[in-house]
Amino acid sequence: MALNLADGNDNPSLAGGSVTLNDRFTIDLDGALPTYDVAPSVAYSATMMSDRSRPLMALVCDPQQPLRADKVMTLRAIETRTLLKPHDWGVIDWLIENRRCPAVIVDRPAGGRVMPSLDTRSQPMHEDVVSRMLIRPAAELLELLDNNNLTHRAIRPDNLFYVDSEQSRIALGDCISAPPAVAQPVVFETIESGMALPGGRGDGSSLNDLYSLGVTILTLLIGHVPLAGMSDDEVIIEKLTHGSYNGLVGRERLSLTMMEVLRGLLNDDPKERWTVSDLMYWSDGRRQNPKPAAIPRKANRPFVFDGNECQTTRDLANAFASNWDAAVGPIKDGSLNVWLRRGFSDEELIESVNDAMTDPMSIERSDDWLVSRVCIALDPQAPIRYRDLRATVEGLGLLIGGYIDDEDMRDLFAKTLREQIPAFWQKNQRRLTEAQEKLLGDYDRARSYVDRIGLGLGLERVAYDLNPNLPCKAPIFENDYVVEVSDYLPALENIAISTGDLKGLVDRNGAAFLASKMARQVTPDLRDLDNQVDPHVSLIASVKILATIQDRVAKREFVDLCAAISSLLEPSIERFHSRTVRKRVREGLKKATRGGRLSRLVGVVSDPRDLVADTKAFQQAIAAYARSVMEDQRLEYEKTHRDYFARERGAQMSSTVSGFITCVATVLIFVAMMFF
Amino acid sequence: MSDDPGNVTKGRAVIAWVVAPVVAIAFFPTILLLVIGMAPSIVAYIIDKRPRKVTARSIGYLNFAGALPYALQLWTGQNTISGVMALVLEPAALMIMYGAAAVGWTLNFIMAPIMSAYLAVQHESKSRSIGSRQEKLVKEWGSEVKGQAAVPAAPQKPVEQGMAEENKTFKGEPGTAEDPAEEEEAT
Repeated sequence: MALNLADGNDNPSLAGGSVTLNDRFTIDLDGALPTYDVAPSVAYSATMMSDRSRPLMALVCDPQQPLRADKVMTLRAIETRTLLKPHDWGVIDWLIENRRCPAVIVDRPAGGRVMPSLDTRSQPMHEDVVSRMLIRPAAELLELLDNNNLTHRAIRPDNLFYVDSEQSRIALGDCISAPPAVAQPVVFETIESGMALPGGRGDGSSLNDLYSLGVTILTLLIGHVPLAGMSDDEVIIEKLTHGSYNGLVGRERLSLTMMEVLRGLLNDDPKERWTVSDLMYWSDGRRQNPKPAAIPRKANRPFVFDGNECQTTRDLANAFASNWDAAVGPIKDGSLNVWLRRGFSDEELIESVNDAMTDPMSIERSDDWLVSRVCIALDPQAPIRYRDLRATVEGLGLLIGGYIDDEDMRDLFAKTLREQIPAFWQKNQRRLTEAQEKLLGDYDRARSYVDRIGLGLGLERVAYDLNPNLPCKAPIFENDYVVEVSDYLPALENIAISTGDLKGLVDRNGAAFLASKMARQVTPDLRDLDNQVDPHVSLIASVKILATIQDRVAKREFVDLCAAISSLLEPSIERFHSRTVRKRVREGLKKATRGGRLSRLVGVVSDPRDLVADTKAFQQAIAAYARSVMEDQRLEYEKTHRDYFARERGAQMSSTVSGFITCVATVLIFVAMMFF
Repeated sequence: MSDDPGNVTKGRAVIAWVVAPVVAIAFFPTILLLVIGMAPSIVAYIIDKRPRKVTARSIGYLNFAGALPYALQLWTGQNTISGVMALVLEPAALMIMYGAAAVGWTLNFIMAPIMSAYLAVQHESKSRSIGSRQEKLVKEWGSEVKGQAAVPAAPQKPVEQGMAEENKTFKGEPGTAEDPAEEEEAT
């Protein structure tokens, strides 16, 4: 559920009042600032408690999307005035939608947006103004970000703000409140990033930011977004056909100086695209002559696919990806091979495509596997594509994080990893960055989890492993935002306080989330959590996991949570057979609840010695009862046949008495005979 | 081998058949006196169908006590057949010997109702004790403690004295009449 921007801004009076963030900032719920909204986040007035004069705003983020929380600390430490710096972030009670949402506190610019909307035309800015107010400061900022291994990934005209009311300085807007480049229109992204789904673009590198900066500069210079009115696919095709620079600049009138910087920034070849230092050189007045974008090799005659003529392998790969099912035919019937041989005398390309069509394992592969690999072979720069899944290598992990609830995308992602598409993509690259190599290693490791069905494994585990910022998607937290293990127990406590009871503690998503963050500590209990036979074992395992979190991370008491869990554990007391022990355990639970320590709850209800002793005693009690039943039966029998038993025992008794009397009489007789 | 039980039985049988006639011949007057004086015991032994012959024993013990003074008198006096005849023809002697046997019979008859009354009291006490134990167990462990014991026991078939000889009934049935007593002693 995305934030309801309209409701959030149009009806702020629904809630009113204020909320605090991390006990340092106050967010005014009546102070909506629609002027500063950065999709998908909404802006509200905020004040720092220690310095109320400082102009700040809170960007309340979409709780369904992971914000780039891990970048906040680094960004805060950067000394710059060209960025609306984040000061802090946290989760707040968002009364307007009756849930909890993440919010980022950022500087509030005094001026408005540089370009209010991407859909409207505005007055073109003078190139001197653009150069002075945007290019030079942005170059300095991007250098700082690059030095800190950060990217902005949200550079576009409607995310630029005038810092002061005099509109003498421009600052780049927020880049934290949403996944990287998720809100970027395709035109502001490189061809490769634009081909990917918004959630699968990834952090990229400074080259992505420089490209976005180039398009932003062009937009400000001409007063409107280039290629406006075209669909995303048309924008991609236009860029592929003419190159980004030619496609975007078109017939616009620009000075040579600006053409130079745009040609450098909009170069489609990442190796030839201007770097931050190139831009710094340029802004220092040292003019350069950027290399024109390399013209992609065209075949002697086009390949006609689905009614369209494709001249280059990139065009064809894009066409295949756009019409996936139809792509199988030309690949399998050999027409692609013939076209490549006749159109390009490039043995390396032909070998790469043949490699894509051959499985070294000689396993019968799906058509999707074939098309995906052929697309990579034809256009190695393009993102990984597998039917509807399209993501850059940097964005593949983010994609599954965003689509973890989408069954189709889960299936495609699983197939992508299972069929080792990222490894084939890697094989087709001439050069990889360190970040890409690390990610490819992560994907290879994640492959081992994909098909495992145990709790704490599977696609959920992969999603959390690959997305440290992904909030826990457990249904129990649908109204909360839990992104750190330390937030897990407070979130449960909030639910316990508000609803009085808990439906569950650790479900499949929760298990994967916790296993991803603290695998070593929780793995043994995850096995018990997966116990389908005895629900008590599963429940106690989940409480044990929570106790581990409390002992290792939270380190405070949770009385209300303990009370709710105590209610959940009530049926587990029935595991003890002895009523005395049950009573003792109940009293122990009450006592442990007051203490707020989950480990004590576990200790009380699941002491192995008590359980063993109880079981043993119960077995003995069953045996004793069985004996008593047998005794009772025998007694009843004796009662029924009492006359018989009386006769028998009477006879025995009389025999005994007779014997005794005889003995006495015999002695007396002998005595009498001796003395008389 | 002499340790073989079959050989031992055979050996005893040989001794019995050899020694018994010798003894009978040697102590013939005494044997004759006891046969005549303990005739009620011999009859009781014959008609008592119990394996351990407890009725015959109770009669026999007292009958023997009644005959013993006359046997001693025989040994100390005229230990001949005529001596025996003199004793048995004396009414008082026979009356004492047979009277002692009658006391045995009487004892046997009066002991049954006494034992019946005793068993009634004992059964009530035991029943209360068992009920109390079961109640305590159920209170502590719940009805689960009944386990399979909760399944009703197989119907009991009435057993009469005659079945005792078949020796095929379960423990505690009248057929093994001595077992409950033994267990009771044990308890």
